[in-house]
Amino acid sequence: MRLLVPFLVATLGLHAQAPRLSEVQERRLANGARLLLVERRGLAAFHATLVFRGGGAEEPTALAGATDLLASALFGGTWPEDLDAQKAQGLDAALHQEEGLLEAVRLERLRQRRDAAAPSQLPALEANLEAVQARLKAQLTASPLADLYAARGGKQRAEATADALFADTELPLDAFEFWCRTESQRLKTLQLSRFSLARAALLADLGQRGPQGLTLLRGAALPGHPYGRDLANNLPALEALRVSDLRAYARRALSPDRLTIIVVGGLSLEGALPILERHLGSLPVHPAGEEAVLPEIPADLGDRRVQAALGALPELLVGWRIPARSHPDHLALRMAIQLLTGGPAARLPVRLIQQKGVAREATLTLDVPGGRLPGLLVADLSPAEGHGLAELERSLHGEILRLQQEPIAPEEWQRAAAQLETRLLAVLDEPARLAKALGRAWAEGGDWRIAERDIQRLRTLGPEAVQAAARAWLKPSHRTTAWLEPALEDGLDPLDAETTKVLKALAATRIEDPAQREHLVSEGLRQLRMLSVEERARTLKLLQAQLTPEKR
Amino acid sequence: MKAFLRPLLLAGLALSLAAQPKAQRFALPNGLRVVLLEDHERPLVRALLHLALEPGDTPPGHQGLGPLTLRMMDRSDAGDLKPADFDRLWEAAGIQVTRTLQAGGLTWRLAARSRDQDRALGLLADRLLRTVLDPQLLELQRLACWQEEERRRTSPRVALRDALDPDPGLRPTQAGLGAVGLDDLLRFKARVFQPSRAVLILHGDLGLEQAKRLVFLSLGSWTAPAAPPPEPAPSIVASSVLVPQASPLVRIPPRGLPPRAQALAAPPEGLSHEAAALLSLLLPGDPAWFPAEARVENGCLVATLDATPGSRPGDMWTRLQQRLEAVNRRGFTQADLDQARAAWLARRSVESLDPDAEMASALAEALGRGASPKRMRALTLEDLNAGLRRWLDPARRHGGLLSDPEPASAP
Repeated sequence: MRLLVPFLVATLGLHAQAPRLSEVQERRLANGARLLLVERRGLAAFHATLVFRGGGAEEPTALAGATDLLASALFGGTWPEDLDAQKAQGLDAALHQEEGLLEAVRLERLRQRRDAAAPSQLPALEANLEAVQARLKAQLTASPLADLYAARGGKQRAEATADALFADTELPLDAFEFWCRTESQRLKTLQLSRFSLARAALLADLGQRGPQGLTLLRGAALPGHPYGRDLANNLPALEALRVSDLRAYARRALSPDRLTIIVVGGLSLEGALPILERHLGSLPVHPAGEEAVLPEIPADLGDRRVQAALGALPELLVGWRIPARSHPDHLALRMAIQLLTGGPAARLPVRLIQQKGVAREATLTLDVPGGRLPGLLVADLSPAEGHGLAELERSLHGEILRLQQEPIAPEEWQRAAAQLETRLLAVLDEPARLAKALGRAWAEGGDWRIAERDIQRLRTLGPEAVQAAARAWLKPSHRTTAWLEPALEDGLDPLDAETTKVLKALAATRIEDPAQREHLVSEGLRQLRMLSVEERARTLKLLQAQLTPEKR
Repeated sequence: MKAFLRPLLLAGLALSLAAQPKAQRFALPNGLRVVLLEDHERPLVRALLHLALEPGDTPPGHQGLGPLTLRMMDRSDAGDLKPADFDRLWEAAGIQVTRTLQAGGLTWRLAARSRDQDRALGLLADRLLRTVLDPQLLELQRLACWQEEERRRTSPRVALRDALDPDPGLRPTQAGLGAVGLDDLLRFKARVFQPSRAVLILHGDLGLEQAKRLVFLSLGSWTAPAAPPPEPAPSIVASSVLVPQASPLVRIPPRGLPPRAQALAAPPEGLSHEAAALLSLLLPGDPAWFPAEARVENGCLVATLDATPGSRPGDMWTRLQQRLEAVNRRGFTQADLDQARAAWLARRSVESLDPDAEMASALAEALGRGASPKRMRALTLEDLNAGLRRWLDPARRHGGLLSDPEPASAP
């Protein structure tokens, strides 16, 4: 009974204070786009989010990276020349020329790699490209505050996720109609004047960041699934992508029937709806084409392990395949994360960092890389000085077992519930976070009301439900473990480093599963080290010859 | 229809502007300044407590004194509360706490349900006023502080950015941390943790009287500590962000990353807040930087040029210098000034969407660092371009390269 009292108090407290989303007003525009509006009378500005369902997971392989490119090239800024129909024609011609020359330069570079002795057209082509780009640049607005939203005191950002493309804007209230008109124009013209810059930046980013632990884990835990795809493996396709391909893709992917408009701010539905209808409601609906059919991976694929030498510091990543956002157990798993890593007094910081001292950092993340389809719950831990990954892994699994088997103390439950409640209040209080929460609920769960249902269900959720979900999903058959150790290349001689690079590139062309790929590379290196230096150098040349020029 | 809607929107705008939380100010007898932004829409209270850092708070040769003091405070007892008790009590009430240390000062940010506001401020007061630094922790925390810094610098880009920092007092060095003794920590704490240096911003579900009672009960007993023990040696004021001083070109090994040239310019002494605000709007988006990029970070201008195929690091530095010079020589036009001024005024209403931005703005105003609309209207093109020329003065720039050794021209 003594234990029951704080628990009841906590539950009742949650009943009394739990915030509601009932202020959300929903409408459909004439072309099928959804509108969610939250009126905040005290605000002199508005936050608007356009959410396009789809995202990286629905990209065809040939268009891998298209959502990232649309986020940066289409929604990264708001340039006058992209919205002015008169300027568009001249710009289109220059963009067309630039596209042709970029492709010619790419092909010439490939030809040069195949036959370095052949006379090169590259300098001439590059000079042409430079001239065309200079002409193109001359057509772009040169004012320091050229961005139309920045000039009105606004802010803009876009994010590509596995499940959706989010385009956020914040502007003063009197710019609302301007925003509606601008977004409508943007989606009609799909001008993409900064396409080549955006692509170059994305390619540079992917090339520079090198292999990533989380990408490796995703690939091993979700083999063959779009959620497990690594964009860095599709660089040649990304280099060959044309602006016309991206535009054609955007017409389908950014169609109104895939769009939800979320507006939070000092606007009433009566005032905003006619304006929205007039501009965004008039966007044409493009033929949808075939809906992407995404494969399903059984959660109990078996306990998988990957060991890789990446980065500078050791790291342990464990991913459990978990259900999609719409599954009833999803909320219980969120509460499990709160109990394990919700703050400095949560279980992993207290036991693994403070008491045992085996970990330096511990975080848990839900829905990696997305929540619309079954994804991963990922634990990311760094060992403390003098402790190894094996010890860290044992300690983590010990804590997971405790969560599954031992009763959860009422004070601990109350702490987790109180933190979730404060977080929910902050989400409701901040327009940007509220819009994001509604957009994610719609893109991942198919209905924004999931966000509200989660709040209601939190009131009745008990510790037993969390333990049952932990037993059902955080088990070995759902698990993939990645041990990441300092990069091999750091301590390798140049021949070994080059061999590792070539072996990795060769393996990437033939083996999709990163776990098998890493195994093949380390086994290949081990065997090659038994040969003499001359033999190893000869083998390296033979291996290099097997790579196509674009993969070298 | 359009003509009918516009007055409605304008009326709505006027109504909204009238309903924005108005800053209410008061001060405690101990000198603590408080700003309240009242907003009863949701049962949530946010608090931001800022302690200003001044040049000279970190004596020469003691780099890392600030971060080490904070680590020691977080891990020492306060009254009868152990460090773990703090974590448990914050979390039991769902209070979210973050702490940051930047060149301008130390900041604690809290968010709590309104029913827990007393506990939130009370715990913060315990941490600030009743912490007794535990000397036994010093060696362990010194090591942990250095290890954290080493991990942070693993990235060559972070190392380059650090190397350009004109005020390195807050960046721990091994020698600096090694030189810090318990006396230094106590002196730093006594000098910095004073109510006269503090500003508290409250935002959310509490009224003025309630705020006064809350602040008085929790922080009213905060008094300036006894004069800090004397310095062991004559103290020399640490170099400030504002001291114009060019430095030699720094070179950081790229460890597999492509070459990068970077320049940093701290804002010049005496630059008005209005000119700084407009230049911070105009400079980052200026196409004249292309192919380099510029942004304003903690008040400093950072210009970056990344390598393209065939770039030579030495040439990259020269090209970046040329971009800086081009922007400096060209200056801005009256149209740029008018546009930036309008954007700045409009941006103030966009801040109402973000409680953190509203609180940051209220803090800047309380510290006398805020730009005022009246002075903004009076700013002339000559003022703006004079500010730009001083900010981009080659003698004030710090430059660096992410590249392997190669003969390069000096900055």
